[in-house]
Amino acid sequence: MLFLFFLSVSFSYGQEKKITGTITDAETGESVIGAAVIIKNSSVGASTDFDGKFSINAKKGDVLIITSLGYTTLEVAVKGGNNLTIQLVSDADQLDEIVIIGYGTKKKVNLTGSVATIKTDEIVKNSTGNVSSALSGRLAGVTTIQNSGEPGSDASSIRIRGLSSLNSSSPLILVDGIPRALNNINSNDIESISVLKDAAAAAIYGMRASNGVVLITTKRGKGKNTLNVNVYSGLQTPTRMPNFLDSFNYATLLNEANVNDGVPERYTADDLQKFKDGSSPDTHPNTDWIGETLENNSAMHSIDISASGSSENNKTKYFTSLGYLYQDALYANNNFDRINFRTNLDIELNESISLSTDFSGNLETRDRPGIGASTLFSNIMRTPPIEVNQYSNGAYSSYSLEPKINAGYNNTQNFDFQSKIALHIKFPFLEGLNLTTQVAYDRATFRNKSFSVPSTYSTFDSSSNEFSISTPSSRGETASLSESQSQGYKLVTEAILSYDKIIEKHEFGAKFIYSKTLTQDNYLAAGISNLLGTSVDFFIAGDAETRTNSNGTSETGILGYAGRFSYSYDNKYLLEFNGRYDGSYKFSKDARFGFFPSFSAAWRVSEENFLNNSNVINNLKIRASYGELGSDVGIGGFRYLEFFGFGSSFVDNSGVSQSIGSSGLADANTTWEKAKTYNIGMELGLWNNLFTLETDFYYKRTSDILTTRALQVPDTFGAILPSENIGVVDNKGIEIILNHRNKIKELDYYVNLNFGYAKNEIIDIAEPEDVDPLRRLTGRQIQAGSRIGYLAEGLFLTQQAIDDLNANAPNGIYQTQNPKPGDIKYADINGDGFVDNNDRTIIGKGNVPEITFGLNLGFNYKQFDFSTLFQGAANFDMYLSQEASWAFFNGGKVFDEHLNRAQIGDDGNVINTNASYPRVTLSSNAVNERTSSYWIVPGDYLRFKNIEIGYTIPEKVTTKLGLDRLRIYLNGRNLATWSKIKHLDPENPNQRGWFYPQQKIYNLGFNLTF
Amino acid sequence: MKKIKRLFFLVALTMLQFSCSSDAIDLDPQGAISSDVVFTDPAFAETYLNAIYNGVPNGFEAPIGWYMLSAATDDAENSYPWPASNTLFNTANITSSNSPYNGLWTNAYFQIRRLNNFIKNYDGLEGTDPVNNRLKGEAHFLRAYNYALLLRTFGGVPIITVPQELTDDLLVSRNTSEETMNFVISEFDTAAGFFENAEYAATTRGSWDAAMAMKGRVLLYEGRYAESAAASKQVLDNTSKSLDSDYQGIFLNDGASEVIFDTQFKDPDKTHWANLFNTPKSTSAVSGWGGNNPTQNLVDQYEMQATGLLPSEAGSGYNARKPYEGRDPRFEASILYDGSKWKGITWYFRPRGHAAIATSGDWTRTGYNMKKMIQEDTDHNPGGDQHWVHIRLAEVYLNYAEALIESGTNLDLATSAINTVRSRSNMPNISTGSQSELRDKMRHEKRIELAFEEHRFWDIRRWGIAGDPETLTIYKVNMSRQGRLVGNGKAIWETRNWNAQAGKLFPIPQSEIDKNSNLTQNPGY
Repeated sequence: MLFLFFLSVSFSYGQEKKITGTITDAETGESVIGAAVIIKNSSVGASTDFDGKFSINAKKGDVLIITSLGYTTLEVAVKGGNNLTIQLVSDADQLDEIVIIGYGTKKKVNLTGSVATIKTDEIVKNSTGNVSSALSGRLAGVTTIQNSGEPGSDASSIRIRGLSSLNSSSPLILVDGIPRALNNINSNDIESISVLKDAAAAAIYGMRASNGVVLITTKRGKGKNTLNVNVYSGLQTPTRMPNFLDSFNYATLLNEANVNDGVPERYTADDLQKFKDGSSPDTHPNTDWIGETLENNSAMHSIDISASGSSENNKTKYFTSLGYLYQDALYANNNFDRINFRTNLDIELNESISLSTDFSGNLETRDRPGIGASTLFSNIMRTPPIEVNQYSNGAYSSYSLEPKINAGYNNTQNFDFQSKIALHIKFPFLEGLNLTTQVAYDRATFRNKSFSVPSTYSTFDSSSNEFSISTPSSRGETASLSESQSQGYKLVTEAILSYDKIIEKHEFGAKFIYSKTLTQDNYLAAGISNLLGTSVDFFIAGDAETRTNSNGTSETGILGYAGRFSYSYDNKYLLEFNGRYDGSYKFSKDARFGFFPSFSAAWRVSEENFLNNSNVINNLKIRASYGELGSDVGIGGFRYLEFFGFGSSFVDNSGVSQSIGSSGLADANTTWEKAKTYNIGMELGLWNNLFTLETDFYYKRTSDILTTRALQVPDTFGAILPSENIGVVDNKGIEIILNHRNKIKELDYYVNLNFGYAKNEIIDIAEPEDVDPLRRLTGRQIQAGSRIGYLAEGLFLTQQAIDDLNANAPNGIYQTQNPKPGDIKYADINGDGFVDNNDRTIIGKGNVPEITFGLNLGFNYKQFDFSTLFQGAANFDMYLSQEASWAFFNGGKVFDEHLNRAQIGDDGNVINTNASYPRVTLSSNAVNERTSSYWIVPGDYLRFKNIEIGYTIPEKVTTKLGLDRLRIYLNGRNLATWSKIKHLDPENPNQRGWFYPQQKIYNLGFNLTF
Repeated sequence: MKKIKRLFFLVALTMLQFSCSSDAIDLDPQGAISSDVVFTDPAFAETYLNAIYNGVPNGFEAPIGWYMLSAATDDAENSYPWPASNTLFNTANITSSNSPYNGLWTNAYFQIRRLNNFIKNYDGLEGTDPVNNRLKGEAHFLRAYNYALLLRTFGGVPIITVPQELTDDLLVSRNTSEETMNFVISEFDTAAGFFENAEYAATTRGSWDAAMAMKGRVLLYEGRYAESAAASKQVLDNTSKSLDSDYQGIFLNDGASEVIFDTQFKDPDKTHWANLFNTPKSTSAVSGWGGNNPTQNLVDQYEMQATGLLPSEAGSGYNARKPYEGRDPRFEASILYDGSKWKGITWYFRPRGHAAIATSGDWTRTGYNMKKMIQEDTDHNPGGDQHWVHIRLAEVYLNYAEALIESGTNLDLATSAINTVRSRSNMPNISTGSQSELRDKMRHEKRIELAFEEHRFWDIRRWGIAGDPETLTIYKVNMSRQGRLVGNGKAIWETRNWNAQAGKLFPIPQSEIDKNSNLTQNPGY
């Protein structure tokens, strides 16, 4: 019938002729497959073939409407010509942007929840070995903290909307829908990342969603067969290292400390002269420990090769890749490499059934010397410049780290294999009804071998001027060896049944999900000591008496049933309900399951008649959501049972035997932490999205937080307290995203600003009422409570000042420990005339920033592309003490900043009243070393996080070379940091400065497409 | 239709794995032991008690580790200055929030609850009587031992004898020190009663000897001299222990014959860091953290072996040119001095020596290092495994002597007890004297014999001598670069001011006061 109708039509309008054309992607030039070409106001249509070609019968004056998923719809008038070349513009930044959400996708305009997304380009651009660090500054409300720059250990912790639990605040991470690690993925494999922030977006993940959800979606095959090669190579160098004083200044200051301490000066003028002129390097060295121990920079390389495309009939699509990453460290024998592979296949078996099979994996190798990074950096932070690193005869001293870097090893290998097979069924009898069932089976193996070898170094006897070599055997030291291995699996089975129906202006959607995750891990570890020699790394070389071994197994299981119902009317009014009924192995049968619902609604104001034709506002949406989410992360399993487990060894009558102890009192009712989350958001697009604004306000109350009554129950009770659902924490905040994108002739530029603010407050942690408000944790920030100390009021400048205070103190002593001018003065907070324990209060903020922001600027001009990212954080504090802050700490060294110490005159008073550091002393100064606000430094910082300048070789040239595309680029990361902490990186995790510093990275790379 | 059938088959197949799976997450903890067997099977009961023995504080790791308690007495100074010995004890800076003994409170009650649980259930033990009685005796011994630690540190404490429920009134009040002492004594007696009908237990566990010896010590500390003497005498009369001829070996050999109760270690399963912490700092191949540096005050107390007189006494035979020769053999066994040969090295603590005396860093502060208890024949860097002796027969002799002297009953017996200990080290006998003369002799003997064993810390407090100028003034050696003594051979290292606090009990932890308003704080905090 239809055929006949067409036939009749073509007969009646004889002017029609066959129009042919090719449709390509405007940006990449790739052909667009399967694009629909329809003649406007008719039912005549065609679609493009594998080469992007179409043919259609049309007459002059007809308008062709060309639509394809992911592209802006285009209308083209039929003129005389044939062989049309039509370019489609990607709509990534357009209203029709598709966003990955939990168990599905949605147009961004139709979202009712708060979702932040980032696309492949912005991830790859960051030149980091791990994806978590790539999120830094790119997403509003997502905080990343990078604690280490050590190759292979430089991942960042991710916090979504700050902290809202006393337990873990780690988000749920899913890769292609399966709970998997984030940081071992090849970032080139990633298509997009979605961060689900509010209850509406996350509730479909119920019990694990309370801290937010990160969805990573990997690339899949489409269109033309292409081969991509991405290569970069670069250098890494620390963002910041402290400036330490040279040995002359060190010795001078040490003499001053001697005077302050009332003991004879250690160094004579002769000594000082030798330090100054370096005339006696073996006895009076001037060692730059950073310079002599560390390289200036270290190499980093990445090679990624991928192929993607589809078969001629478009029924089989593939994406396959192989990636290699190598990162070297600032010292020898420490490096990291990773090999990634991935194959994602989509096979259409018939009209109703298609199959996806994904295989991926990674092999990570971390080779480390016997000395760990924190030990190494603690030595660098401590060993004074007056100790020799390398003697004049070339031998290394006992202080030198060189022999330790070259002794022994600590090597780790992780191999992960991940597989997923999914069956998609479109039921032919009811359009819109689909079923996906999928099974993922992941296997992870871990192996560590650690060979601890005592080092060989030299000593120098200054009285006899003789060198001698100290070997392990001369010291009676021996090597030891340990090895551990683990393997585990994760099995995820899911079924997703969905039904979508459109009846005129009513759009219905329903989804039912079943999900089960089981894991098991087994480990085995063994060790031996007193090895013969220092070169044979086998157990057989060890002393059988020192054998140790251990093993263990852990299992987890979670099970959930989830559902989503959505309804929209006329694309204006959107309603959605999500719910999940979830069970965790951690809780008792009676308290195992919880129900986590969410409700959300959105109003697309811009679709209303009064705004429909507005030239200014092209998009305005207001959305609101409420929901309850759960969390069982950071909580041990089986706290509902009391049982006995083996503890540390007991030595009984010279023999080793076991000990057992109780796991602690149980609370059989222990159950989920629950977070009630309210979110209101607005999305605004002006002048055809020239400017866009997205803003969210949220309030989240987490209750039933599992914690103990440790603040209430006296220790005389004597038991390990049960975890009970008693804690309550509030968290509220704002997120703002501002976007401006414009094209002026060939200049396409953009500005993106994102800002997040999250403030938490402890509402209840079962704290007794009568704790002094100064030290009461309730009502404070979650993390602030860990630091209770004195409020510093600068330094005592004169003895008179001390005497005056003493005169007014009840017992004649204002501040104990016999402070002297140049020591820290503490505040008498409670006003009783003297400083004691009761004057301590909670000082400073926590170390997770309340404010995070990012500013993204960039442009494309002709063959050039340029992008920058500034990123920062504020409202957090660092407490720096010991090696990281105190002069001569434990025989350690001295910073530049210590030159501004309080200098004591002959009258015993401070000369330089603007001193920023207390008087120097060699003894442990009980006055100054108390926990006090003196040692708190605001962590606020701003970083020039990223810059990339790229140049795409003109097509004319690349075509001649037989290439589709060639782009070369320069990339930099962490190039500048502005912060109140001057001598350490503001993301420094350790108050003593024992950490491998964060890295600046300079890269040169190219992207090649065939 | 055929296709649809196939489809349904496929769906049915995939759904199969999803059914009946809610039990899939019903898991059991791995490696767990049911509480049923713990209090019935003697083998498990014993391992349960093992954990409690592991919780008995020992001097290498107590009260909070990193230093030896003798560094908070006039016997020693810790070289690295940051541990509590230097920053809290010696400077009288202890508060109810920072007290190093706060952890003892928590730990003791943690162990006591475990014991209360065991004692409540131990009638169900399914072993033979000798086994059951041993385990029961050990539980009472350990409960007494933990309360004895609390009593010594805090005075009277809440006596809790049953495992409390969370619903009970947990805001307990303190018992008097007399009530606490009476409870401790009755528990040691109960333990001894069980041990009388029990199989033999090793020194690592409670025993009749240990219960009675501890009873003697507790009564002595509480000033119950007659009863204390009686308890110690019972041990001396009945024990199979005997004084070792090798004094130094007592602290290095698990099997030493005079040890009554100890905590043992074994590399690599259970180790401590005493060797690393207390090996002298030097530029030579052997270099540790320095740690516990004996003071000149202590060194001067070692008598001349030939005469039994102190170096400072006329006719002692002391030669200032060879200050370390001819001394009490326990000096050689306990102290590394300038010229000592140890670990194949001659140690030079003289100025500019390879382990020279200094005022900062890890170097010795006094010119001496501790030798007693430190393993010579193993690498000092890895964990050490020499045992810590809680109580040994020599102490019982000296406790007996002290109790006799203080009660003034039988000074001859006291003299002979002291001489028994001295003669083991080939030191000449002391002659009996007045009560006060003998008191001095006994106190001197305790200081030497039990040096670094954590006794003096408590002794100077209970003897009331902590505030004496000679206790507070800490001397180091005064030596030339050539190793000759300069002047009187000593110089003041520092003056301690612990006297502000040494007369007091330690504070109840502030966090406990915050939680329990019924607890009264000890005076002075």
